Amino acid sequence: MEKFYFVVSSVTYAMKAQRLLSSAGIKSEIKRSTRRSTEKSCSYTVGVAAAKAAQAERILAQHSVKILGRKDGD
Amino acid sequence: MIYLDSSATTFPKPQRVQQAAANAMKGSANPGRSGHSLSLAAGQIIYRSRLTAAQFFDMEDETRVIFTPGCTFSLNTAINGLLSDGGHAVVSELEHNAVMRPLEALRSKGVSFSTAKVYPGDNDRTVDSFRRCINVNTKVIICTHASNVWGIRLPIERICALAHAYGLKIVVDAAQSAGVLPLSMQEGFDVVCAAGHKGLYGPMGTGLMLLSQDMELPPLITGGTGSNSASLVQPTELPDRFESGTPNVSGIAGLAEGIRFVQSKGQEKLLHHEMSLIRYAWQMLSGMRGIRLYTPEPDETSFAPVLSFNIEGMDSEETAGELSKRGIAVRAGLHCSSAAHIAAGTIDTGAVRLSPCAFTSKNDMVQTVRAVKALAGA
Repeated sequence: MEKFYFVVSSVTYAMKAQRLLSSAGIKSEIKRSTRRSTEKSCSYTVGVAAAKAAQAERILAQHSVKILGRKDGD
Repeated sequence: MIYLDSSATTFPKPQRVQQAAANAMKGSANPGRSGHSLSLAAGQIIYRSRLTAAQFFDMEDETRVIFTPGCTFSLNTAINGLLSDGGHAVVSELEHNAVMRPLEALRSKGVSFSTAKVYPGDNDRTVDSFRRCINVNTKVIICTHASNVWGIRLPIERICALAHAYGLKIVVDAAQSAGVLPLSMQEGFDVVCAAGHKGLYGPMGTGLMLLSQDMELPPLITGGTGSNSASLVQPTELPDRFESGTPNVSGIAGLAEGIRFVQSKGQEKLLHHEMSLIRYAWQMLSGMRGIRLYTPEPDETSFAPVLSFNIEGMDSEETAGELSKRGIAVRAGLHCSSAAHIAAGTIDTGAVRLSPCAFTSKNDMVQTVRAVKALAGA
């Protein structure tokens, strides 16, 4: 499945994002960011199915979860 | 042992609190720094604990729940943060040294403070007393929700309204009240500082600083947060801004279970239970010769469940020592609150404090009263 990743600043925001997305029926996976996925050091990514990315981003924006970066694919 | 020192820390901790702390220690590592399962497990523990605390105190934004090593740390953060550029504060005459010592230390930076008299049961007079202390340089009102010595409860909702009417911030010391008295961030408090290990039944070494939606403060401590490590600038995002260093994961796990324990028992029921014990003690002691009490009869609207007394002719520590020999644990002396004792005229004697908790029985208080009676020769 094609994935889309949001980069957030901390594990707190990663888990907040996961909770918000889960409430909306969107599954997500939290991983530590790599240099491939982001220029931001020491951050976390929240991965969702690419098809859900737009909806996910809206939800995160509505709840003031700051997105530091975005990335397609694995 | 009959344990009546809950104002120092509640004992025992509920089994579920002990279990949660132990489980966290066994099944998690350092949160927010790594991507392995133990780090993420720790992150989940902390996050869920934050959610639990936010819900308990009626907060919509869980990132404004800051975990600290204790209420003293929270108060130091708030007080230093609000007064680092100088200014004037208004405090009550009952404040703990966790408020008074930071203020005293800030005198060298030009900070001054005025002390408002408190009138137990007369909230109008108390609020007016705070009002009369405000001047053009006042930045903040800092006050206890309930005295750790006399149990006197301040009308913090009205004091909050007063503060905001004058464009001031309010910092509430909820060390004695969190988990015992109703306390909601929906009332508009700017900062509430709470101990995790008293009325919230968490492990010692835990505390909370609750920030209103608009409240901005500089952190007391800066350092590693596990986030944006390339930058030497402390993050602005909450809660990281205030949570540098490795958090007390097992303590926070226990604290969350303590909050759930209070929720499961019902905060109102716990207050009623503890106040009934304190009222019983007051009624019995007030009828005894040789016993000195310092407050009117406590009631649930004007007091927290704390009662202090003295046996005439006995040093308060001596009384506490004799009670300890009889298997009754209390605290005597000045209770880290010289202000409260100066207000009551007990700065030279101190007092003996009784503070029950959820696990204190009526029989515990009956036996304690009997022991006091025997010591007093009443």
